[in-house]
Formats: sequence, structure tokens, C-alpha cells
Amino acid sequence: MTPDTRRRFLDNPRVLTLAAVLLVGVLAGLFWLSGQTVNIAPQQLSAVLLYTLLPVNLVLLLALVFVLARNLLKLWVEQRQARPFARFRAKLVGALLAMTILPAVLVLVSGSEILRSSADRWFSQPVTEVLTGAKEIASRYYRDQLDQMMLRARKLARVVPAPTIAAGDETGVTPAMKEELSTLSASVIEIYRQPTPGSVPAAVVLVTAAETPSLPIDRVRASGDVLAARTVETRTDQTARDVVLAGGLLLRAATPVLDADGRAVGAVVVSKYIDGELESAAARTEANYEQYIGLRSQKVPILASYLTIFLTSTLLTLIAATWLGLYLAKRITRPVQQLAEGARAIGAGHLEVRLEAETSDELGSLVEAFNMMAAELQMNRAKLEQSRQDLEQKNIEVDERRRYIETILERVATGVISLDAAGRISTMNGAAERLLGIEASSLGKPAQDVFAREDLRALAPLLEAVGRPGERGFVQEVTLTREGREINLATAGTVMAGGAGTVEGAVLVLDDVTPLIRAQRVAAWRDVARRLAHEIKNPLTPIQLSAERMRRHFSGAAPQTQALVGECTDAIITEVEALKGLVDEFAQFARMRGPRMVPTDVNQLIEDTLSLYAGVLQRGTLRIERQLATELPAVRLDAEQIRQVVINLVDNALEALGGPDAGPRPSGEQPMIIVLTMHDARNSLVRLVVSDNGPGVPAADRDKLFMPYYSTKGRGSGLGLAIVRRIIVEHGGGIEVSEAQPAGTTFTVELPAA
Amino acid sequence: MTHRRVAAVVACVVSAVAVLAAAADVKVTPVVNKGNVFASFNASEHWTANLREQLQTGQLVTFDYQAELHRPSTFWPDAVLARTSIAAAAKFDTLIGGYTVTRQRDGRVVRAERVSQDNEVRDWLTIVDQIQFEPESPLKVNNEYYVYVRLVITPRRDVSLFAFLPGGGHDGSGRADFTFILR
Repeated sequence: MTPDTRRRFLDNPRVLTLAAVLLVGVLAGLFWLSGQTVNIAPQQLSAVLLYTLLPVNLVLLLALVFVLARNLLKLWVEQRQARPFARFRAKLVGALLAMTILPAVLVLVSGSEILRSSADRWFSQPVTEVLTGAKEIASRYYRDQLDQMMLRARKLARVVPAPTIAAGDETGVTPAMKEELSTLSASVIEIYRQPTPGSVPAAVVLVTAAETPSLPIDRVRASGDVLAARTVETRTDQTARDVVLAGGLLLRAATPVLDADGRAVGAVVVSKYIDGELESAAARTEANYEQYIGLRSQKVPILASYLTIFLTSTLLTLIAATWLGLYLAKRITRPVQQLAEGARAIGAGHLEVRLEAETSDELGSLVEAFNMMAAELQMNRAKLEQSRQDLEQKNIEVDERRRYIETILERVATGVISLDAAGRISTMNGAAERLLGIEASSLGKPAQDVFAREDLRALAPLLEAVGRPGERGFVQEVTLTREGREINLATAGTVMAGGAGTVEGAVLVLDDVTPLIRAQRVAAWRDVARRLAHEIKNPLTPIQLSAERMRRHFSGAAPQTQALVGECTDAIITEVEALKGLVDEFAQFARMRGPRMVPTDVNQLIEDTLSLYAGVLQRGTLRIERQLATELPAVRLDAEQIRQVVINLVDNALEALGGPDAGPRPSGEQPMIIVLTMHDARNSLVRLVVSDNGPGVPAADRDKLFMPYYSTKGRGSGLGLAIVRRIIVEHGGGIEVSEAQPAGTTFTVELPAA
Repeated sequence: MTHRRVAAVVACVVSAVAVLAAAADVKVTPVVNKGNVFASFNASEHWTANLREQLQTGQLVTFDYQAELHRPSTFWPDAVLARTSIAAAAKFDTLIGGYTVTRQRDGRVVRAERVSQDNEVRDWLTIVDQIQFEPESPLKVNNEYYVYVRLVITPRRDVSLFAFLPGGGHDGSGRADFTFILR
């Protein structure tokens, strides 16, 4: 049987009712039994009842001890294990047990004492004395009668000769017998003889018998033979009392008749009739006395029997009350304990826990409320879990979006800087770091401090604008000079306003518009060049033709005139030719075709281009060093135009170093041009660097190097680097010039990798 | 059976004398005669002043002997081959004196007498002579047997808390082992 099945079995009202009825039945049976004890002989009372109930009591006692010990042990274990409500249950059980055991034990003790004192009263000294006295009176009367009978019998035995009796001579004994009988009333005298003296058992025969006329009953002839035989056999006086069927009794006294040798030859039996009334009174007295004495001698067993019945009832009541007390304690504490355990389970997160309402009372309502609470908690937790999953999903999405935006921000060429409400830099993308030349370590620092650097002071108005109250946005184009070159930035500041209108920070957007401005300048110069080519070249031919005509016209003039004209026209024609060449370069710059880009190995292109200088550089000390990166990706480019770029850059370096025959540098170093390539995988760029250790370009002139018609050489059209930049720009790349270390100039060309 | 005959029988089967149980308050003497087993009991230790006093009050005093013939067993409970009961009772006539004594064998009254002397009553109650056992199957020669006698005296004047236990319900007992030898 499982604990649940047992619990349900014990909680079944029918079982409880049956047990109660059974208990009441047993108690009623014991009550009936105690009532029947008056009809049971004392010996039977102790022999049967006592010894039957003793083991029953022992079993009940053991059961009680077992029930108590088991439950107390369970309570102790529960307390040691700090089970919920263990102390409460222990107190409840203790109170209920005290309420049941103490009264029961009190009733048992007091009841036992009452029984004992009652028994003492039953067998009190006065009662004993009365009954003993009555018996003694009856006994004394009987014994007096017997003594008188015995005296008569002895008298006759002396008077009558033994040989006469032995001979059975009736006539010889009759006179003495009748004489003696005349002094008696209601009496019988019988004389017996033993035919065979000395026989065992003795056998006697009646010699003669006589009775008084006043004897109210018919004489029972020879009825004293048994007594006579015993008297003869024992040769001693014997007494007896024989009940007469008609009522009353005969008190008999017998004495032996001895011969001269002392042998019993017969016996004289004298009987006295006691009437029925007297005999009945004596018999009742005797019976009452013997019953009383018997009961008194059985006092202890009888008392023990009643106490056993009482103990049985008490033990049954005690067991029932104890069990009921423990049961009630369980019924009370079990739902509470279940609630506590359920609360613990729910506290531990087991919201699926439900309790079974065992009753429909307040505790049952409490259990139902608990179950409703658990159900609500479970439902809410399910919702919460769903919300958490949704939130987690949202977070994942937001995180992905944030990473996506960060990636975009990191990849875009536009610099983005976010400031918090205190003006500290919160975030900054790579483009901003690159454009402003600041490092990631600036994060968290005040923007005012970071932008206080000399080359970044142009951004101060932007910071001031986003910090002004009420300002929502600010757009400004600033030019920064960093590392000797100008950077044109289109900046925009946007204030991030909170829900309550509070300023939560600002976002600064820095767009490098330097290439755009340069392109705009190049376009402007191309337009100028085209106009110049158009406006200048057209008149040059008539000028040249006119000069030649003048020279032909004055070919016949005086030699002095002819010489003067010839000198002038030659000068005009030479300058016109020079102007034509200049205009042609302009025209070429203006009409330069777009690149035809195909994937090309840049290293191979450089090797091919630099091989052109092999013969030129053999004479001097100048040397071109190649530092070409391995595993350089292919680049989509117009090989012819990039070759022109490389040649232009190398030519400029050669010229800066003093030409192919240049001697050592003033510092003693060997003049050297370094051409290197590298792959910027992060930005997907291929860099081509041409560096020399020449005198370098002043920082103020570096940005002007790529402007058309600007030359530091004092000759040429000044379009070389402008064309180089245009080629590079049309390839989608960029070119920068910087100072080489320790001296010289470095041109860095960036081309997007294929 | 007279005392002389009993003595003769005992003399004939002296080799089958039983070993009397030690420390028994009922002395048991088994006797084998011509293949029959007899036993005599003596419970004179139970004749006490209290008992005599109880008798004098007119109560019927009974010495109930339960005699059993056993075959001992090492591993199993001893087998009971035969059993018989003897009830000796005495009642004092409180009116005229003297005792009425009776004896029953297996519930049947076999003797009833009237005696006047205390020693007669004592012997009547405490001595049982030559009770024959009648086992269903004959005893085996040279085997060990024993006679066990339980005595219950009624009425009881005290209470034994262990009367319901085996051996706890009687007032006295005795045992005598013997070897069954047939001559």
C-alpha cells in the first residue's frame, strides 16, 4: 500500500465511521462483559477473563507505545531535518496528546483507586465478622447437636456388649437403644455390625434401628451404613450430615463398637433430624459464608479482572484518542505543510506544482487559492519568458543592426563622431580617426580637449555650435592643415535631443571633400586649358605665318634690316612654336581620355616600367630600390596611364635628386629612389609608394604640387602631377604627398583592389 | 493396585528407572511395566499453610494435574505421545467439619470420599499413584522418553501477569526422563 493509498484509505469517512462504530462496539462489549461478571464464578473470572484480557491489554499497550513512539520519532526526525511546520506540528501533537493521554491516565488511576477502595469496602471487617459469626452460629448448633448425638452413641457403644453386636443379637441391644431413644426427639439410632472384622473396605450390616415417634419423616432404614462402615474402618468417631429428600437433614454421629481386643465389631449411629427451615437457614448461611470467603480469597484476581476490563477500555480509548489526536494533527498540519512545501517549490522555480485539496473547508480554499496563484505565476512566467525571448531577439536584431551600422560607419569614408551630453567622445569611426588624425584612445575624453590640437582648431566653431542652447544643427566647411597638407572637410553637427527636450549629445559628421574640391579645381583648369588652347592656338598660326611673311618680305631688304627682321621673326616663330607646344599640352590635359581598366599585376607593371631606367642609372650612384609586396592582388587599371604615373613620379624623384648622374646627398647618403607596393586588405587597397631622399618639398607647397601649372622646377608646363592626380582619381584612387624620413618626398598612390 | 504390587513392578523394571527432573516442584516417577508406562506424582511442596487455611474456609480446592508422555526431539518440538488429566479436589464442611474429597480422571469422577484428617486431605491432593499412559503407538525399546506434569491449583489467590504465556498458567511442574526398556 503506497502512502497516498494509505492516506486516502484513512481519510475515507466510511473507514473512519466504521472504526468509530467498531470502537464503540468493543467498548459496549466490555461494558456488557463487566455487567456479566456477577454471573461468572470468581475462579472463571480470573482464569478466563483475566488471562484473556491480559494479552489483549499487552497488545493494546504495545500498539499504543508503537503509535506514540512512531509518531514522536517522526516528529523528532522532522524537527532534526528542519522540515516546514515541524515545530508547529510537534506542538499541536503535544497539545492533543496531552489533552487525550492526561485525562485518560487520570481516569485510569482514579478509577483503579475507586475499584480498589470499593473492593476493600466489599470485604470489610464488619461484613466478614457478620458472615463468620452467622456461620459460626450455624456450625456451633450443628456441632452441639452432633456432640450430643456422639455422646449418645458412645453411651450406647459402652452399654451394649460388643459380642452382642458382633453376633447381631437385636434383642440384646434393643432395650438400651429404646431407653436412649426415649430421651431424644426426632432422632434415629442405628446399630451396625461388621460381619467380617478387619476387612478393608469395611462392610457393615444393620443390627437394629429405632426412631422417635416425633420424627417427621419416614425412616430411612440403614441409611447410616456408609458412615458406620467408615467408622468401623477407621475405628474413630465419625460425623456426617445427610440431606433428606423430603426436606431437612440428618445430623449423624457414629462411634465404633470395640471388642476386648480393640477391634471394631460394629458401630452405633445416632442421627438427629434437622427440619428443612433450619437446615435451609444453615445452608444459606454456610453458602453465603463460603461464597463470601471465596470471593475474599479471590479479591486480588477479581480486582485484577475488573481492572483489566477497565484497563482495556482505557487503552482502547487512549489508542483511539491518541490516534485521533495524531490524525487530527496530521489533517491540520498536512495541508499547511503541503502549502509550505509548495511555496518552497514555487520559490525554487517549479511553478507547475499543484496541491490536492483534501478538504473543502478553509484549508481547502487556501489550497485552491495557492493553486490559482501558482497557475497565475506560471502563466506570467510564460509571458515573461516569451517577452524575454522577444527582447532577446530584439537585442540580437539591434546588436546585428548596431554591428551592421558600425561596420558601415567603419567602412564609410565619412567620419562620424558622437558626443555625450557632457561633450565627451562616445563613439568614433575609423574614417574620423583617419581624417582628424586622432586615435581610439580619445574615446571618453572631452571633445574640446581632443579638438584643442593646433591642426584641429578649425573644428572649434562646430563644437561651440552643437553646444549652444537651442541649436539643432550646424553645417560648416572647414579646412584642416595636417602634416603639411590641406584637408577639406564638410562638417555637420546634429544635436541629439531627448524626449523632454534635453540635450543627450551630438553627432559630428566629417566628410572629406578634398578630392571633390580637387576635382572641381581640375575641371576648372581643364576648362581653362581648353579655352586657352582654343583662344591662344587660333591666333598663333596667323602670327607665325605673318612672321614668316615678314621675313620673306624683308628678304630683299638691306642686310641690316634683313638681319633685324630675321632675328625678330625667328624669335616670333620660336615663341609661337613654344606656345603651340604649350597649348598642345593644355589640349592634351583637357582632352585626356578615360581609363580602360583591366585586371593588372601592379608589380609586373612596375617592374616593366622601372626596366626603362636600367640603362640610364648605370652611370651614376643613384639607385632605384624595389620593395614589391608578394601576393599583391590584381588591380583593375589602365596600364598605359599607370605606367605614365610611375614614370612621372620616378622622373620627378630623379630630377629632385639631381638626375641620373647625381652624386651623394649632402648627408653622405647614396641618392636613392624606393618604389614599393603594399596591400591594405582592411581597406581593400593597393598602395604604390615612390619615395626619394632628395631635398623634399616644403610643407606649404605640397598641396599645390597637384595643381596645374604649378612647378617647383621653374620650367615645364606644371601639368605632370596634375595629370598624375587626374589619372589616379579617374581610377577611383588617391594620391598623397608627404615628407620622407629623414629627408625627401614620398608620393603614395592608393588604388582600389580588384 | 496396592503399594506392594507397585513396589514389585518397580523392582522388576528397575533398569528402566527414569531420571527425575532436577529442581521440579512436582516430583514425577515414571514406571514401565510390561510395556505400559505409568507415572506417579507428588506435589507435596504445594501443600502449604495458606492452602490449608483456604481449605478451612470451605472453598473447593482442586489440584489439576496435566500429565503428558513425550518423545524428545532435537530439532522439532517434542512429540506428545499420550496425555491424561487427574483432578483431585477437596472441600471442607464448615458446619460439621470433615472433608469431602473427589478424584477425576479425564473428566470422570473415579472416587469420592469423606475424610476427617488433614494429612488424608494432603495426600489426596498431592499424591497421584500409578497413572497409566495409553499412547496410540507402542513405545520403542531403548528410546528416550519423558513424562511432563503440569499442576494447576484452583482457586488462585494471586495474579500472574504471564499466565497467558506458555508455561505461565500453571502453579507447578515436573519432568522425568526415562529409557524405555522392555523385559
